[in-house]
Amino acid sequence: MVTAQRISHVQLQYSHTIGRGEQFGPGFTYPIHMARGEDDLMYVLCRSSEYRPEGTRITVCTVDEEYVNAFARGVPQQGPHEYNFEDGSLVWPVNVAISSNGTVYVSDEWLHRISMFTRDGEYIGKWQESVGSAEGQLDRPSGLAIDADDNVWVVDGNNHRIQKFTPDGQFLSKIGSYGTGDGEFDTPWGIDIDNQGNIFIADWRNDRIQKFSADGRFLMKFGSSGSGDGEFNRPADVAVDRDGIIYVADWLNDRLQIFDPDGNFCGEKTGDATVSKWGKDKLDANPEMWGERERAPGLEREKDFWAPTGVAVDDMNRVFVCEGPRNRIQVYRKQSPMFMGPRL
Amino acid sequence: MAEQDIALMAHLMRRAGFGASYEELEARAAQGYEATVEELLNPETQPALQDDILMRYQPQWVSKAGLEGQQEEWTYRMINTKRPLEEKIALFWHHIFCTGHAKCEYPKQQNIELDMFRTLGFGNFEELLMGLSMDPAMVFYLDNCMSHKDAINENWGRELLELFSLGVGMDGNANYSEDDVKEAARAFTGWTVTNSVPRYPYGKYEAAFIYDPSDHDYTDKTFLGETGNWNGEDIVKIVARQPAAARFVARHMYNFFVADEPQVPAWQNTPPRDPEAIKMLEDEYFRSNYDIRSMLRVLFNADFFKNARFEKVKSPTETVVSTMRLVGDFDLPKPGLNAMTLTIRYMGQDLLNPPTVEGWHTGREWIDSGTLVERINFTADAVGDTSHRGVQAIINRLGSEGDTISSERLVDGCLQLLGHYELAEVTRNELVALASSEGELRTGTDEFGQRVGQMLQSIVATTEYLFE
Amino acid sequence: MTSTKKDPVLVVLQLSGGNDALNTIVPYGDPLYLDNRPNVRIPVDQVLPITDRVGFNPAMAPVKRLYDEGKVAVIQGVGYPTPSRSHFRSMDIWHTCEPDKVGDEGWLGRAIRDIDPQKENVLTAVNFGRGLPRSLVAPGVPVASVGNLETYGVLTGIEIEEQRTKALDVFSRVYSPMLGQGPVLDYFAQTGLDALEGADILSTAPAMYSSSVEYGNDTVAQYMRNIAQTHLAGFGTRVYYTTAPYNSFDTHAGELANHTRLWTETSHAIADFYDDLKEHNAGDEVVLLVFTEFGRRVHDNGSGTDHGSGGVAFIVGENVNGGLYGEYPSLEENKLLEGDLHFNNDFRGLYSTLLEKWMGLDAQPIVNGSFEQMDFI
Repeated sequence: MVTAQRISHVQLQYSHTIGRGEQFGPGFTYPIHMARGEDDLMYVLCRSSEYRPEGTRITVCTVDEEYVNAFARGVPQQGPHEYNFEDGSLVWPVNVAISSNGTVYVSDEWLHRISMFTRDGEYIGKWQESVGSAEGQLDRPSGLAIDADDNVWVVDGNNHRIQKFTPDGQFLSKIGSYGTGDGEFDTPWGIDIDNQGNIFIADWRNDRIQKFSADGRFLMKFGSSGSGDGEFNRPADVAVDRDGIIYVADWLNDRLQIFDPDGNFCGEKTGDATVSKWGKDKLDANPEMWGERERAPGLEREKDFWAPTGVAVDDMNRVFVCEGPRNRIQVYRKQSPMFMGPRL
Repeated sequence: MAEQDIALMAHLMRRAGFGASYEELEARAAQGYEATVEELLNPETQPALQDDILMRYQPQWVSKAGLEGQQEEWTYRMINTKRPLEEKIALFWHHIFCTGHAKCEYPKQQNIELDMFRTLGFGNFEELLMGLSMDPAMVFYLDNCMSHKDAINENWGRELLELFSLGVGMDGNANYSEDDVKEAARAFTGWTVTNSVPRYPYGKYEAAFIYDPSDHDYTDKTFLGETGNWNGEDIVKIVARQPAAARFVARHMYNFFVADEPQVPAWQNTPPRDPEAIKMLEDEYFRSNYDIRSMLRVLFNADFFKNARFEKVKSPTETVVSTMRLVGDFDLPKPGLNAMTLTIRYMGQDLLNPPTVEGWHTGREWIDSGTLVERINFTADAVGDTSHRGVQAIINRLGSEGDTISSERLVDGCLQLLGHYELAEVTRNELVALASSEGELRTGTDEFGQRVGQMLQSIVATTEYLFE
Repeated sequence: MTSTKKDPVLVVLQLSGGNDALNTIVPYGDPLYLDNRPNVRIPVDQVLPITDRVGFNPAMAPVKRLYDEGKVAVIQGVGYPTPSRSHFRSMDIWHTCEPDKVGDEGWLGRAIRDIDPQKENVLTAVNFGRGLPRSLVAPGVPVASVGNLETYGVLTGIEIEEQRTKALDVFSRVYSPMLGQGPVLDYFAQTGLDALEGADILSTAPAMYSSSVEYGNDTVAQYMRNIAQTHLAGFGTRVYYTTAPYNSFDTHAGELANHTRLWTETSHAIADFYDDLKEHNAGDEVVLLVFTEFGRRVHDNGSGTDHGSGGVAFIVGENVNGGLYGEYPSLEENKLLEGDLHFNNDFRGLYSTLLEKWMGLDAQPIVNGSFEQMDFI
């Protein structure tokens, strides 16, 4: 087999930032993950917090930051131990994925359930809900990915394994168990599937990424604990683009790392955020803050990623990184390494 | 294991920490009292909490952008820490060196302050005061950033002396004059903070302390009788060597760790409850070169401490945290943390948001009819829930004593397993009568668990249980 | 002093989060309103007019009805000098009447101390909601704080009623002040008995109450109903307080829908409360104050409004001289204060009017100064 020349340099060009901190409407409240839908739509999962349950939702907007709507809802507490976990509600939502027919899947690591919504946000159904470690049961499910057959892969965090389900939640197979060896996990979090059907897992507490074949065979791993090139401090999420380039949200190192298809380090981004469209509206409504920004030393900190928990790529070579603590998504565009031909 | 050793250990763990289960008390008593004191005084010998797990499940604790999240996080840490005195010392200094959320640019700034208390809070008092003088949360809270060489703001200068280091007076005499306040304020001109990044659109960033030499008043100052071209650190040095500073730290320590004193504003004219104990602590202050850890070592090993069981009203924070530790709830992050934490506020202590820079009035002033109902109902709900691990342990332990147990033993056993609480005779008799009225107590039945739970509920509702 | 037969009662409804004054009493006749609110504005043709310049938000029809009967005073441009845009700080200022320093006593706490200095009635003041707002806090002033009137009490966690009765029986005996136990224990014992007594008395209120008025299911409506129930039970309570859910009026985004819902609920609760008291011939015994910690930005942010200053308050009751009070602050750019409405009416004057003209108390020491009073009573 002829091996293509290794892509040693991946150029990511910063594009723009989406978001602002907001409990309703245009904006996010601790966006923990996102998925790209049809028509340039983004489904942004807002974790919010227990004391602002109204902020827990999925905000739908376009990549160009046009607000569309929001759906699902947080659960207001009724009493010290009383909740009303109605269908379609969210407590600790952690991951979102969209199937080929537009169904939106959301994992909830408190309710141990997967909820399904239509692309417009209507509630369809759910699976699981009771914690357990038997086949098909979940214990703090986190990452979600959907393969070419629309099967749903769920990272089963506290069971330290990955499970594969049919689109309506019938158990199919599983990978892994607790440990540090090949094919073993410690509290894994994010997941992605490349266009060959290979599975990539952010093996969170082992500070590494593992790759499996579609039938669950261990293929490779990379990364170790640390803050140097190719090292991780609790990687939260992984995404693979159509060229096989691997992007890792290196959570507590506050950066995005980029790897070639073999897992070789080829760069990092630490953030380039600028004021978003919604952010500008906000500042225009509070004009003295424009002045405060000018006076404040260290405003360049605003560019930096802060604890990114989600990374996604789309078919247009755009890379999205969401940062809960900053209520935003930074968008990059990958420069194509291939010669595109001159204009005619 | 002698029960009196366990009772003493229960006392130490309530005061130097937030209480402990009976099983932990037994283990610590076997380890020995002085060894436990040393372990508590050296928290770094015990593992820290696993922050990565906490932040994964409580992601809002990363940005620390709101009061509620901060209160939740600190409460959670107090419940679960393996280094109880580290959190207790932070609470101690927070009671004294108050900053409030109501006047805080960015809540994370208060968290940074707490971290300073966790480390410098055990060390040299002079260094701690220096840390406080450069703490952005405090510089903003007490307006030192509004104090300029040509227009001083006295707020920090005054509170540094009155509330943070000397106190208004002692033994009937004033500790400083109004002129000293002004001179201190002048010495601290130029101690300020950077302008902060505004909240919109993405959120705040922490401000930094900076010293602006161009805004400092370089003229001579006469402070507490000493004249020189003093800057802030000189003021702190002069303050730390005053006998009043030793008295101040000693009385606060006594009030927080040993027994309720009168409210702080009365200290100028009200002598200490135990002058000899205060003298011991003052002596250690100077002997150890102002070392807080050394003073605490003297305190916890002293008879005046060991003999002060139940001489102190629990604060709302101590009430809630010790109850959660006792029953074994919230030992992992979970929803409901917010509601649990809010009960501390409902009981009268809005952590990180004290009513004024004077902090909270403590002792009997924690209790009024509203806060009493919150306190009793919260603790009774927790200990009456027989599904809790800690309540189960009490039930199992009492249940293992035989096929039946007497009403007297039910009352005494519950008191013992709660940490050797003691009731007035008349109260104990009432509870024994209550237990007897329900008939014979057969262990190993579901009813037994319920009746233990009910007895625990009645005990935590007594006036005695308001104390620790 | 008023001529009412019974002791005057003050009810306070706190709208937490900062109610948007501009979309509450809408200056629909001012073109600057339209300019400043390109996205978050009430359509002019939907406003319920008061004058040709201002009118009620359309969701406030029930309040408008009472206004038309002359029972609602609208206090425009209410605030204080150098406004704070922090929820906590601004609410503290409203609570303590201390705009320049951090105060620790609440204005109503001081009022309650004046009303009942000997603490003769454990229910002189009742708060509905958990935890005590700072306005009610003053050293030595007991205030009952009721999260849920139907279940309020001591040891409510003991589910089996017979066992709870026994436990409370024991409680009442072990909390008996016993001579020689020392002042602290005696105080705790008395406090425990007060709590028990307060809970016992309060628990009888719902059963004594019947009304044809049906309140909404939202928190504010239910607490306003609780206040009516308690007042009509005749326990001698003089001050009631309740708070809209935490920061609910904080409409940074999605304001139009949320603000409409909030005012629909709040207006119905206010009018239902008024009608309920009237049905029981108690309308002249009570005056209701509705306030918020600040108004919001004049200019919207695209979907909501951010923290501002210059608010609007309402006084409602049969003894109220309805109408518009104060001036509507100008929207002209050079008259704004950093983009906010400039207050022209000090809230301490509003408090003073209620304290002196309604409650018959000396306002000056309670609000920390002398402020111009109004004529709404």
